[in-house]
Amino acid sequence: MKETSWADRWLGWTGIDEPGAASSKLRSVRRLVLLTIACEGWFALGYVPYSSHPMAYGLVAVGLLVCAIAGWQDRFAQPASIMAFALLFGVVYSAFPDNANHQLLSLMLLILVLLAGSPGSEDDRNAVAALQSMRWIAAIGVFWAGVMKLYYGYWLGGEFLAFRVAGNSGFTQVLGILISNEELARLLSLGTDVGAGPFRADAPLLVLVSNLTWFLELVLPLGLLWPRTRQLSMVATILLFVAIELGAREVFFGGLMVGLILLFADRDRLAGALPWITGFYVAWLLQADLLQWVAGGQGG
Amino acid sequence: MSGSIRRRVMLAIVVFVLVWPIAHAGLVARYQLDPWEFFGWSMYALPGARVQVLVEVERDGEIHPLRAMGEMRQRVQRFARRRNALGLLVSTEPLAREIFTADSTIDAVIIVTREITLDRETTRLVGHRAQHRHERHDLEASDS
Repeated sequence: MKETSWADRWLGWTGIDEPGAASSKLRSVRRLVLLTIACEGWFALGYVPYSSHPMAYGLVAVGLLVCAIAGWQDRFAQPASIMAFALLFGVVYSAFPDNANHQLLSLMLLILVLLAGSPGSEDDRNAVAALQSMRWIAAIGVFWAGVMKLYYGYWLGGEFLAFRVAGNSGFTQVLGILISNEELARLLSLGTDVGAGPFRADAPLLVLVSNLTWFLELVLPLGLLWPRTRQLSMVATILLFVAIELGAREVFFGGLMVGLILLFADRDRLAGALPWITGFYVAWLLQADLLQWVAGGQGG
Repeated sequence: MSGSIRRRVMLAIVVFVLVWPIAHAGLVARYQLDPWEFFGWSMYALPGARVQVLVEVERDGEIHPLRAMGEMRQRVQRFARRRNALGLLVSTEPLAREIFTADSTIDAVIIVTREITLDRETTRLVGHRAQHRHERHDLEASDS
């Protein structure tokens, strides 16, 4: 019988995978992370500071793409993950402080992938523990997102959502339907100069959505930890993320988080979701700034 | 690395993710870091930092806006981006030194920052202005 340490016990709160499932899930999450940072590497070329050094960051994007392709196969998993980590670390270091949160999350996930060891290694406990850690990160992240919404205090009256509806087309399209035409017109006319406001919407549905968001972010992670509610909470959390990303459109962060939350499933559901996530990434790249960048424009 | 140590490192990463947002919120409050940056899980909790930077220079007692071109313009923009992300952790002094080095006729550099935030009570955008004046002779004296 294998010895169980206190670290194993703590990590085990998010569930324990069967060895076969662990190996498959780890493969899928490795592919997801490598795919995400490869796509993001190309996407970022349209934005400062990456657009200021297109040759250097272009080469990094090529390198990350090679890592994603090579890392799709188990036999190249370790070198591809190491190389991807080195490239991404270099990007984060050189672009500091202009770093995206999903870049930092990806670095963390790559460390966990590497700590899990080679695919099919004898001690499957490392793979199981890596997956447990990733699930913890997802649950903690969602929980903190809810806590921070309460702490900063812009969600109880729907102020933040009203502010975003006024200044961000994604939020306007998704949440505009919850607001009367007059109120929406008022918000859209406010502008962004000092003195603009008030960004408080007289729309009960918007306030309800605002409060439901932080409430679910606080409750669903607890549901993910309790075995009886885990699967239901997993589906609900994914739906919450999809709803948030309809407005926020943080596609790469959303892709990573949905992938991490799918790790709460009994089986490797992420493998089935990967083609969909890949499709979203490619569509996003094509519709967003890549074509504009190729044509010589600048991303916003 | 043994399996046990690997798993403890994994647990350490999880603990870091658990406690870092507390430190992050403290840094945001103390140094005006951009709450959206640095993995504090505060994106979309409030509007992101928005800092405007204006640089003025004084020559022979007259103050004019800095006409930053080329490399100097990039330096000012880089300062603005860093100030936006890192808040008060980014000093204005290095930028002032670069401006003095680039133009020996400048006697003083005035860097004005305006942080625009959404006031929680009024839900209106408000500006917080701060001015940093650097005299050439002060910086030269501190160097010698």
